[in-house]
Amino acid sequence: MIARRLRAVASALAVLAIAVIAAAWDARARRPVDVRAIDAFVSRTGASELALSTTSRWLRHPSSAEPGAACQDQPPCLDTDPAGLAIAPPRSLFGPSVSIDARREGP
Amino acid sequence: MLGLAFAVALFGSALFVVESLRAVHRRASHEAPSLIVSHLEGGRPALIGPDDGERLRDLLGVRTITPRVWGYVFLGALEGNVVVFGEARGEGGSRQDVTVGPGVARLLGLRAGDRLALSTPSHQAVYRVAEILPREGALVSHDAVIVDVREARLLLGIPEGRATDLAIEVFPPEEIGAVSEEIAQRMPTSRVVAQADLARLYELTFDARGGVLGALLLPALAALLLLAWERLSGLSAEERREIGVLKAVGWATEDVLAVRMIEAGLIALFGTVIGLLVAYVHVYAFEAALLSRVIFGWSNLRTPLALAPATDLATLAALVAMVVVPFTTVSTFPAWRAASIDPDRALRGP
Repeated sequence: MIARRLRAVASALAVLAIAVIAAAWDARARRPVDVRAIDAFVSRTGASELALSTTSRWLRHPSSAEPGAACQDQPPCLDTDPAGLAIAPPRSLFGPSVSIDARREGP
Repeated sequence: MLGLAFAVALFGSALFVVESLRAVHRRASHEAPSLIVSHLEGGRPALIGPDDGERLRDLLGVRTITPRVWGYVFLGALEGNVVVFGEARGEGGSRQDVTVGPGVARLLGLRAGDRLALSTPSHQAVYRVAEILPREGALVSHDAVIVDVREARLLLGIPEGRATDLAIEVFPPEEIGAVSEEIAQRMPTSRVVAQADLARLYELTFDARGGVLGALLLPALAALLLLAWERLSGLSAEERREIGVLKAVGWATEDVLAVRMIEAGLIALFGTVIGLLVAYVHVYAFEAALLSRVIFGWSNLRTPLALAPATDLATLAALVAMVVVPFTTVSTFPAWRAASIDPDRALRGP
């Protein structure tokens, strides 16, 4: 009984060890590719900021924009930190904003 | 064990993403200019003047000063901004060729040789897509469109002689602080951003977002620990009989406690390794599909997280300290209680 349990534990440990070695090998294989593409782009444009959020410039280029200025990029821009979270805002919100309509119509 | 693996996978995914992004930005800053100088008007970024660069050329340590022309162009087809960079190609360079980032190419279905129309209030033109940047560099180039600097001026409405900002190379790097101070004195209306400032900003951003995510996951960890406590406190009839037999044949309480602790340790080991493997596959094979939108939000031009692993042993140790140590700790008391039951009572049943 105990021997069977020990064999099961040893087998599980062996499987995990193989999986860990495979992950380490995969990690090693992934590294050089990213570096070349990133280096080439940054040396070409001088822009090292990350394109994690692409709509608002204070998230795209935090070094050159005022953080937290909502709607500074386009009137319907809702991309405030943390950028809408997991669910996209309703599509209807991306039409012309009320302020634009009001401005066009005048007082 | 599955609960522990789940908790480790959640925390591990957040840690892997944050660490890999840190590594990407560190890498990107190797090739970036030492200083970026922009002009402020009324506290807001404005175009830099034609003479500003010349005023800085005699500074000791300044190797090159490159006026950069770049800005944002709203693409209706994408319902989002792309970043247009101007590139000096000389008189012989083609003005009609553009290089596009992988995100723009994918969303617009562009291939090399296709046409791309860019339209702003100041200029409209159709360009030829000469090159598509590789997907591996998407974290910096996803939404980029590189055009000839003359076209960039027309598209962005930046007159000849003016620029968005100045990229300054300083050598040796020890001079960056002194050069930065001197620029601030000579150009009081400028904003000088050193690579170190940018690196600090990103470190803080990653820490903040990773921290928020970690805080969100704490209730899940608490629930797991409570569950582990409940599970380990209650002994099944078989376990109770097994302990009774062991004690009847001469095992001391310490021996039974040691075995129970080894059991808890094995569960923690298996759970941790399985959780880390799940986190690894989730982040690096599936681009953190479950977490990326929570961390980075929603965007039309959402950047795929094609990350390379960059986790060090200290990060893994932090993860173990955060999840595995509390789990092993809550296992101790139930283990001691199980080990100290009376063998006679254990064999006879409750």
